[in-house]
Amino acid sequence: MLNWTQIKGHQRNKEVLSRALENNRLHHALLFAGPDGVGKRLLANALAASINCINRQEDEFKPACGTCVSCHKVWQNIHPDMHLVEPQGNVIKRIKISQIREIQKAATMPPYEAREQVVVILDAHLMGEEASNALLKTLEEPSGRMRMILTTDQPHLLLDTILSRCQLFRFGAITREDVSEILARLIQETESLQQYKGQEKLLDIAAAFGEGSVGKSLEILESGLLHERSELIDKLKSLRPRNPIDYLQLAENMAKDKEKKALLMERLDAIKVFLRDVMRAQAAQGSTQDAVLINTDMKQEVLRWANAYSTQDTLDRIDAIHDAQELIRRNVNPQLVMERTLRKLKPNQQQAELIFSRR
Amino acid sequence: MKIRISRQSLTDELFKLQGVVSQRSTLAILSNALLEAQDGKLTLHATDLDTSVSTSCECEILEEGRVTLQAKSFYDIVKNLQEDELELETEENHWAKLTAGDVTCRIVGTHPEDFPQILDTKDAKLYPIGTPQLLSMIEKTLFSVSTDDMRANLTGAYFRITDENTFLMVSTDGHRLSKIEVTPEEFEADNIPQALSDGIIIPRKGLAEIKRIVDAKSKDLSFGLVDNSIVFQYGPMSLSVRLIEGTFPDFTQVLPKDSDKRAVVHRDTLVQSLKFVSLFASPKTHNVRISLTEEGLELYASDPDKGEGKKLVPAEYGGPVVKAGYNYRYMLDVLNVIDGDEVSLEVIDTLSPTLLRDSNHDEALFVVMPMRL
Repeated sequence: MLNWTQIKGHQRNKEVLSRALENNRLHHALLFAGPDGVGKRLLANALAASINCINRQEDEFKPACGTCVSCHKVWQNIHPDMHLVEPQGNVIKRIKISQIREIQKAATMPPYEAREQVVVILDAHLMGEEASNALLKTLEEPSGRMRMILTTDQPHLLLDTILSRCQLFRFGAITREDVSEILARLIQETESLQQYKGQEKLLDIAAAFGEGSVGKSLEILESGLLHERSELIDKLKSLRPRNPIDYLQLAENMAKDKEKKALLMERLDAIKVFLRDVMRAQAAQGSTQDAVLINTDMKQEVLRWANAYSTQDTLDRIDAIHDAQELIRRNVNPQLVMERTLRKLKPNQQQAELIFSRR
Repeated sequence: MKIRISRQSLTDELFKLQGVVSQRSTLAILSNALLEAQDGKLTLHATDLDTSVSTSCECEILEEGRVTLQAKSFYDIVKNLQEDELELETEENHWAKLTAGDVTCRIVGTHPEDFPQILDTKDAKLYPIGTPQLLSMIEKTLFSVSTDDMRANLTGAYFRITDENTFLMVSTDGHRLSKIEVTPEEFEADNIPQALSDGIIIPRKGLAEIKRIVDAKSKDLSFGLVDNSIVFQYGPMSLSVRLIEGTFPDFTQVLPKDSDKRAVVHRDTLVQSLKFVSLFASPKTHNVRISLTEEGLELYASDPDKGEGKKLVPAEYGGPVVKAGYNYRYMLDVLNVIDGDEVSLEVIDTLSPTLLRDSNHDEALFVVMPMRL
């Protein structure tokens, strides 16, 4: 569990929250809205720990000390006055009305040992309409000593009545440097990621892939996509312009595991990100500045593609991938989709020659 | 921690905790009991957050300390020992080692710091309360405490020390209401905390737990407020119940004014008759109609699937004819907690609240709302 000061980014939100604590004017319902994996839950927990930290005076702000009994219990998730509501279910995740009822019940009681009870509802948009409406009453007439923190990455799915009762905190992406720093630390702590130890460059690429979300970057690392990336681009490049067998085979290969739809999607994402780099390189042509790339380790390759394709060609290809992802999401047979998409992605005679030519 | 203790006394104390420890809870630690060895005695704590029990017994302390153990299984272990004396010692990983005669076992424990905070009742100002009085107050109000979580302030009984230094307890679920006011034998009137004279709400579960745990014969029972809890203490045992936040509705408005339509009935006869006539009551509404006439009290119930039944119960009644329908189960609940032989029933009219009470004692009174006929 992280301390308040250890949480990267979100300076403004942290400032507003700490000032509210300082003046003893923290709103009773907070909504943390922002993309997945940027630290909403971490900050919610840090705030909860801070509210109830024994070493904090009533009207001052201090990051949770992490050593007192209260902090210890919050971090172990065994605090009797902390209520964590998580979506339940194997296939379709939902926050059930019974979970909300428990919160309502808790709201009728004073805190057991803490200063204030803190309720954290994760992915609040997964509350059904009944659950949301049940929560309304407690949100509206909170008991004096209960704070609620709702987190969501899709605030538009929340009922207006919930939105209007919460103080909104928008969470943006974290900077690339911060993400790679966090990744470096996580790798130290996580057994399954030992293979990335010492590979700062890869971490940086993963951070860029994640677009400011630590969660997403971690997923990229765990999927092993980074290793596979250049191979994938190579295969794409070597599709022979007049030979349909090439792309039919590649389509079959890529869509082979019907169970692994997510993996196929990620591969398409990787191609998309590469093509985005190509576009950026094209845009930077003739300018004095270098293009900001995500695939920094494949710069030569990117430049070669940028040279071979027109901007319109690149755009068309990105569109093709978009279409493919949309179709796969709608459960169209992945192999058919890939056959169609790869036909659009393969280079024509002239492009193929340019890609392989040494400048 | 290292202690030597008699098996019998440890078993006895552990038994007292069993009602409070919860097996199914999101907090695993709540199924544990906290054992504290200090100042020559062993103190045991258990809590389900709403009700907490602490008790203590003598033991020989070789080293002071604390340990938390799974309450149910520890009780089973100690209970089934053959030996008279046992030794308990904590190990480094918070486990406990138990030795008694030929037996040695190691019992899984958790960090004592993880256990919820124990209410400090040492400096609390406590007031004496007679055990039979307390139990009678609970008995007479418990049944009409609401079970509807949506109206949280009704899910407990309202308790207050009145200006006349009597104890008042009221409960209602919106359909019926019970009120009892008792005069304590000895009570110092000074320095009553404001909260107690304003009134507090004791949750249903806590009331039931008090009723279960407090021994009817025990003397020197005292109570007081600590933080958000009401604490009951007798001997080494202390029981604290976390109070419900909220205000209890003003019930005095519901209490009917004295009525001239007052009937006095023999309690047992009325109970039996009600039970009999209710055989014809609709299983959905449980409606039984009562009419008061000069001949007495007539009970009547009918249901299209069952037929109809009628019974006349002798009653002293001098007023005009009046009829009203009731849920017979509400009536029986009340009659079951009235101690006296005779019950007085005061009906105002078909739709106004009806008053029931012991015709000789008026410390407790019960209000039941009639149903539309």
